[in-house]
Amino acid sequence: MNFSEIAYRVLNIIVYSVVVLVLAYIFTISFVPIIGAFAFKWHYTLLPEVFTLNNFKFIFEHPFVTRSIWSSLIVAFTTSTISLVIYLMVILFLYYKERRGWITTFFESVVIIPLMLPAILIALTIYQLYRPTAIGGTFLILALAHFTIVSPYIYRNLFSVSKMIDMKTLIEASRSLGAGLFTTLYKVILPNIYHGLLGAFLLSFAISFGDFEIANILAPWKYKTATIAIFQYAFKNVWIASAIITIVILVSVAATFSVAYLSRKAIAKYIEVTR
Amino acid sequence: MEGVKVVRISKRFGSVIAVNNVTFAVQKGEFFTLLGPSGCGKTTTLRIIAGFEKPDSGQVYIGGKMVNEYPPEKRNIGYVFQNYALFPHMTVFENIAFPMRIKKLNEEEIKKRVKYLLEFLKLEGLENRYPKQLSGGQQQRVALARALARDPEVLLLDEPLSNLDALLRIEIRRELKNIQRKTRITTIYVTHDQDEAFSLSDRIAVMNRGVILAIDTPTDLFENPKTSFIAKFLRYKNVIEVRTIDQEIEILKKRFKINEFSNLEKEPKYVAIRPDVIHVKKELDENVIQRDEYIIFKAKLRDKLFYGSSVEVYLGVDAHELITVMPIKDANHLNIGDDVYVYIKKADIKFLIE
Repeated sequence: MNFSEIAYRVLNIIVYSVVVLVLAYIFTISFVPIIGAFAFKWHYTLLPEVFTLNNFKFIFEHPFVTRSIWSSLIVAFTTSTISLVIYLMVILFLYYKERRGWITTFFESVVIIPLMLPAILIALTIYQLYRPTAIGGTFLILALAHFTIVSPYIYRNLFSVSKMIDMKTLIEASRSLGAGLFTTLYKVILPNIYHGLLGAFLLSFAISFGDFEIANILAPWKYKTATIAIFQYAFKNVWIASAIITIVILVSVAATFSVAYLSRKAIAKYIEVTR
Repeated sequence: MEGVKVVRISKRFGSVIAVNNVTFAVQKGEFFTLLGPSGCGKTTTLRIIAGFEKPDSGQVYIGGKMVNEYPPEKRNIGYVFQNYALFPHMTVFENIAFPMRIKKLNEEEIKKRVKYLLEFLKLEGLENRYPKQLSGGQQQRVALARALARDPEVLLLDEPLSNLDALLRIEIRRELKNIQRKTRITTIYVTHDQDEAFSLSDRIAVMNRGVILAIDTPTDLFENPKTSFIAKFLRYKNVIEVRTIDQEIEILKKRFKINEFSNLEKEPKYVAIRPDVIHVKKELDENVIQRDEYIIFKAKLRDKLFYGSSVEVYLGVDAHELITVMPIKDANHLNIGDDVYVYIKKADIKFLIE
């Protein structure tokens, strides 16, 4: 075995070790809270010493916690739906009027600004601007702030998807065959960007659902979110906080599959009906 | 009967004038081609006819009706895109049925018409396949079937053969011509390929820099190129600057009496000579000299390029170069570096004023 072969093998071992370590780390971070949700006592052992379901029982006996999960769901769903509809329209406009390159460039430069701003700054700005208005005391103020922070991600996601399918030509093809803009959108564009839309929706949902910094400043008392509840219980009883996290994860997964199933069914139904 | 009429249309993108005051009329049932190099404005013109672009000025008429304000879906056109633009989530059947479903035809009628188009375009058995499961030629045929399914007044084709390999292109070209002959549908075809334009068209418009330089039948266009650009673009290969001095004309530094050329009218700036009318011999032919039908140059054979059925021969005449094509057996007698004589029939020389 010569030197280069030995070096290649050593490098291989290092790369595999790094991959295994990264996977183990992500696995631990993701699953320890779920295991912890079933723990009554867990100190210096690999798994909890005593298992219990009382942590979940506690959640359902305390309306503040259940309400916070609902609030998170409502805010995340509203944020994702609004941003998806808005950015779908934006992408359609920019794509169909592609030759106006400066509009696209300008829009892209503006839409990524929230990435560069600290979340606390966005929260405080929106607080100052909208707190005195009608949306000040509702969950919409939080949805508005979340819309701001998810914008760059949603836009980029939809932009890449639409680029992949050559949306402009598909729209033109459909229109040259007699279809109006709405029929084109439902029959041609949506079925082709369905996966991209779902991806963008889930990304937005996850960002909104997981936000603590903005929610902590903006969420009205009635709409304190799950992350705030987790934070509050983390210092009182970490296993109850873990149980809240577990429910949040379960709800997210369920919401994801429901959205995927329902939108696929809706598009299929529309195509069937308009045949 | 009028198929399509375009009157003084212009279109500008920023500082670039894509189409500049273009006017032409296509008769009903005619196969009309817009021919020109990339960026000459031919696709923009086609897109304006389709309604994908709005002209800055000018009018578009389809079937005698002004359609400037009509969106593409209201123009009753069939458009075949360069990349076919088949709907990836629909089968061949669904792609072809699409315009009929939009028209809300009944299912029986749709099935009957799709079946007819599948047979007509030799696509039987492929109806349940998705576009990605088809070859380039099949995709092209599906795109054509889909465009015809709408029963359009005019068929617009934007370089539909450019993504196919050379052999398939020739095959589909013949099919396309046959389909157009059978349907007699008014067709506007955009291409940069002269062979396609010549073999398919009833008439051709040559475009450059947003303007139409000439409109003519393929034969007349080829026989009588009006400008040096057209001659070059139609592969004359030998477009040479000339000058007239008194009653003489200087071609490749050799002077000839103007009255020697019956086809010389105005003061020309260029001559265009097709490669196939240039003959090469190693010796001077006394019989030819006496007939006085040819102009003769002394030349040196600079290069030979083998093209399968023919050989392209490069001849140096002073500082200039003439290009000719000849059969392999004739080219075999000639070697690079040979001194030869070039014979060009006077009647084969095209004099161009610009």
